Amino acid sequence: MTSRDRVNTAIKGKQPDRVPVWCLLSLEHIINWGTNDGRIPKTIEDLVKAECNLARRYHFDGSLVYLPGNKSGTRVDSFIGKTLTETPQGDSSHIFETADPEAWQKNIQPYQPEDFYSSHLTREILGNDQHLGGWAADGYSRALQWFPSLEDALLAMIDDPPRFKALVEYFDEQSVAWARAQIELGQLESIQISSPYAGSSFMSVEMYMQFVLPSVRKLAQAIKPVGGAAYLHTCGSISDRLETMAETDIDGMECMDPPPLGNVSLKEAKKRVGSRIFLKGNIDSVNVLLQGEDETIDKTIRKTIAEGMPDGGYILSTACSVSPLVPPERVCRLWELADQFGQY
Amino acid sequence: MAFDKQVHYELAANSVIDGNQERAVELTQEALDNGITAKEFLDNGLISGMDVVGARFRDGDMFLPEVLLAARAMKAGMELLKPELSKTNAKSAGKVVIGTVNGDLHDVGKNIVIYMLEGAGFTVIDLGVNVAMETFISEVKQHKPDILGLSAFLTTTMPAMEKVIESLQENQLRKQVKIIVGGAPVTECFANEIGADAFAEDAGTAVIVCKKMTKNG
Repeated sequence: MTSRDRVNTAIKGKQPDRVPVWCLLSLEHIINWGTNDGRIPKTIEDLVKAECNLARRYHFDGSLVYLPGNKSGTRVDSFIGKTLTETPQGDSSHIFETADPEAWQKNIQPYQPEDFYSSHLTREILGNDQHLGGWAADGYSRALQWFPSLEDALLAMIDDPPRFKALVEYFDEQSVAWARAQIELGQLESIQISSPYAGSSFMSVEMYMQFVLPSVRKLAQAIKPVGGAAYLHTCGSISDRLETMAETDIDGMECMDPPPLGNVSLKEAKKRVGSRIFLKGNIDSVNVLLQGEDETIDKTIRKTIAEGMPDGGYILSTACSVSPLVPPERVCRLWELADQFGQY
Repeated sequence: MAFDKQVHYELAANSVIDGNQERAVELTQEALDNGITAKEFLDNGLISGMDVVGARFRDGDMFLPEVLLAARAMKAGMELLKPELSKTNAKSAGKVVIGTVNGDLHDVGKNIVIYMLEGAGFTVIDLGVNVAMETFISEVKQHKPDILGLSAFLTTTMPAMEKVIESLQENQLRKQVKIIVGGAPVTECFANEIGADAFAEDAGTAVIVCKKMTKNG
């Protein structure tokens, strides 16, 4: 079985030859360990090469293209530098009370094949045997980020739900266009639906159903007809909403943070939703891979493999992204132990 | 019908719990009109409501948007009380200087802690995110807080907490301020290692710990 077949089989909820391995990498991890000199990559080509270096080094069966929609030669150093060092500030000219999201709907621009050069380059470097995915934030998360602050956004959501929902729907349309283009023009195979503000620290299950679920569902339902798989990425505590999340028509779910960052038990998640969607993650990148002793790391990875692999539909991965300072040899233990203990 | 203080406190607390800003303002005005002192109403009405909010948030029975609504209702009531409070020199529950350490831009957790602390009657000076070590030192010198709160969301920025504590020691300021640390990757063990006085895993706990440290708990 190729890596691609392995991931695609797990995505379908089936049993591949062994548990596939595929982690999301943080941008700083890519820079720290994927480049030759630890400096910020200047062009999109440099960034893609750094990502591919690590995907090979870690024996990943799949890779997520960090910046999937970029033309050849695009300078990314300034963008990456800002992402890493500057305070993300909302644009205070965004005034919720006078916003007209319905009028904005007309302004969504179509994408062109050349917009996805970075995805094509990743494929060229890693070859056809690798599963490649992209990502898109759900409309809800994008709406939240449109506000000057998270506090403003959450209060607007409660104060004026119809207008807030219209805003989410506008961003839904943008996200749908972006996600579909990654599959159709970028020839990627899966889309990670990034939905970070939807755990129980942020909202109740009822609020999730009202504001987030329709947004995620719309995106998931738009990705499938163009041949892509959709999986949901939500950090933190989500144990109280696993079934609700599975109702969004996603193919799978990523993160599933265990304590202390979250509250998900993989064993329990397999029982509750494992027959409906594939699962990916559950290894704490910070408290286990970065701060744990070697023995703890191996024990945790082996336990995770044992809990995730029964009946297939599981991809071995860190919960959220591999944090910046995790040494590469520790990330390698995922593949080494999957190869040893994750064979079906 | 005679004005019943206890009933009024309860109504005020409920207005905060429900996040009903208009009602909180209305009840605050009525309290003042009926001769209740600002301090008495604040403690027994508004703060009492916010205490319930803190406990429910900690127990997972209330969520961030509801906490924000409650804090907004509380603040609206507080605005009416401020002139009276300043006249009587009513003491706050304590003064807290708080910020996210150098190199770290995350502020959601810190902001929740601020809402909850303000709701509990603390005076909070928010230094924002990516706060330089020198700024923490100068702000502690200037404001002389009871508590310094340090927040970090990244494993890469956690060491900056230790540097702030070391610098406070070098500047002979460590004994005059209690230090509480928190943030997603921060643990009690780490807090002990770097010499912090306390650790809180969530905003509700942070309020309880701060109250204990200022002996208001």
